[in-house]
Amino acid sequence: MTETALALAAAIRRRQISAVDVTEAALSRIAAHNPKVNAFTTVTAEAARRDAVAVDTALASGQTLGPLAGVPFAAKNLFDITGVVTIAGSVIEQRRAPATQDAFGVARLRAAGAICLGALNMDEYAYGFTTENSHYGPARNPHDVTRTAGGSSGGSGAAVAAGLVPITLGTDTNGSIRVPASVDGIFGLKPTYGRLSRAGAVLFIPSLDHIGPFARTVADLAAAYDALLGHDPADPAQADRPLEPVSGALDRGLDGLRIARLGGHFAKLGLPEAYRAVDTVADALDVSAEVDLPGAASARSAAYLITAAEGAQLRLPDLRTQPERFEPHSVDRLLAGGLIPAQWVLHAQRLRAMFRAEVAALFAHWDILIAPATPSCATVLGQDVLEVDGVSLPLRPSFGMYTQPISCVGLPVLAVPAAKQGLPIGVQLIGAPWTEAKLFRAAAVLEAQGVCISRVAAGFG
Amino acid sequence: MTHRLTEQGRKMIDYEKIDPLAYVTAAAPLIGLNLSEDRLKEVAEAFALVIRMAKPALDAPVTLDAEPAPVFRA
Repeated sequence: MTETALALAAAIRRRQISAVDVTEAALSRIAAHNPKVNAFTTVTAEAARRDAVAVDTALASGQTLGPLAGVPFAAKNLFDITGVVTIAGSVIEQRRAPATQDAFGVARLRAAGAICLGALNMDEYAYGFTTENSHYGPARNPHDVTRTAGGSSGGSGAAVAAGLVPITLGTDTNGSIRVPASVDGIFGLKPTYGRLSRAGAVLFIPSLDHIGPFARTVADLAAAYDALLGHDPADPAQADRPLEPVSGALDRGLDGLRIARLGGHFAKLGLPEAYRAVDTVADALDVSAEVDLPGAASARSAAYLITAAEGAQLRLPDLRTQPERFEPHSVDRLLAGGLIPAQWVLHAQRLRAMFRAEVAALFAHWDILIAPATPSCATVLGQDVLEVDGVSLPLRPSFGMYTQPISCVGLPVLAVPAAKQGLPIGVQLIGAPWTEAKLFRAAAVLEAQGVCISRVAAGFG
Repeated sequence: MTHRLTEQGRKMIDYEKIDPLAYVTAAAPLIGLNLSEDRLKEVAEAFALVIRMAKPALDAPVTLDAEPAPVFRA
């Protein structure tokens, strides 16, 4: 789908094209291109065709349908999709029966009229930043198939960047939406913690998990996000907040927005392309102020500890009985995480609260903070080490160095593509809690200026 | 309360004294893990990485009034 979601929806609504034709075209693209990127693990062609007929029938009878009626989408394979086994990137979860109802996020997109085309590749249990899944094969970056699509929502990123579907769903615990958005050259939103219901998704770290959308335009991302809004008592972490849709605010510009770039931790250990991307966005937004969050490095470390311990605890029954069936890239990290002393984790939780206060103080003066999304462009499949400034960093735990401190305190972030040339790389637009609309305004300005543009990868047009 | 649980400049842990393999071997049975010798060595390597990644957090001071509840609300 090289057209935008909203353009497709408008054409279907005007009956210039049928939902059935759009669905068949998307299925054809998946058949032709998915083998190159391995984004889809399941294609729900039969159900999609059935849903498309229902959309066309409803339109023919004069019914008013949702804003995404007939638009194809797909979801990371940890979301329940009716009739599909929710594998969460693992072989262990193949023991599940097919889902009997949709996850809340999938259900919301369907309620807006969108048509689900299937489930997408990911790191096992969302523990990774590269989607080098040993069970189902790696998701490959459409801009260079020898490189990773990022992770853990790598299939979600690759599917949008390759134009297989215009909208996908992912999850973000430590960067798993922002990292794929960055390296795949698309827009991705990690909303405020507690904003969107995670019910029906296999959780990784409940105190850090978020769901969110990917798209190639800001308007499509906004439409998907607005569709995902909804109160759901099934997720105990969801906050009691107004729904606060954003699509209506996209044309409000930057008036009144105070924007700074983050220095300190966010200006270290990245390759030049990461800082060039931030320069590009800062210049476009006329940002000259640089501010620091001195607690960022320790907050990132705290997020690592909490993740390792909580992640292991959720998987402990299977780690005891069948460790050999886990992902080889992450099983030892999970096992080690189970052995972290409780005192370390409680220390990390206290640091998290202190960092939250530090961040709140900074947002008294600023509305948006900008920072790199990843320390480099997409890395090569199989790469284990990231060399930066003469330092060798273990790649898999290090690729979220700029995203982890932010999700540790639940801030909303919109990742925008910001490479002027070469491989894609993204920038984080970070807001205070519950200020997603401000991030969308800034992203819309950047897109309108031609600074942050996402295109279907060459060779997939 | 502003009482510090750790003091600035005073490290909570002497990292040099940690033997990851000895610790992993001793602690694994506490959570019901029955790991082979080879697996224990691999997990010890992973635990050494945990120590490296955890250091910035563990060396940072925290206060008693900082909330340690695991469910976070923005």
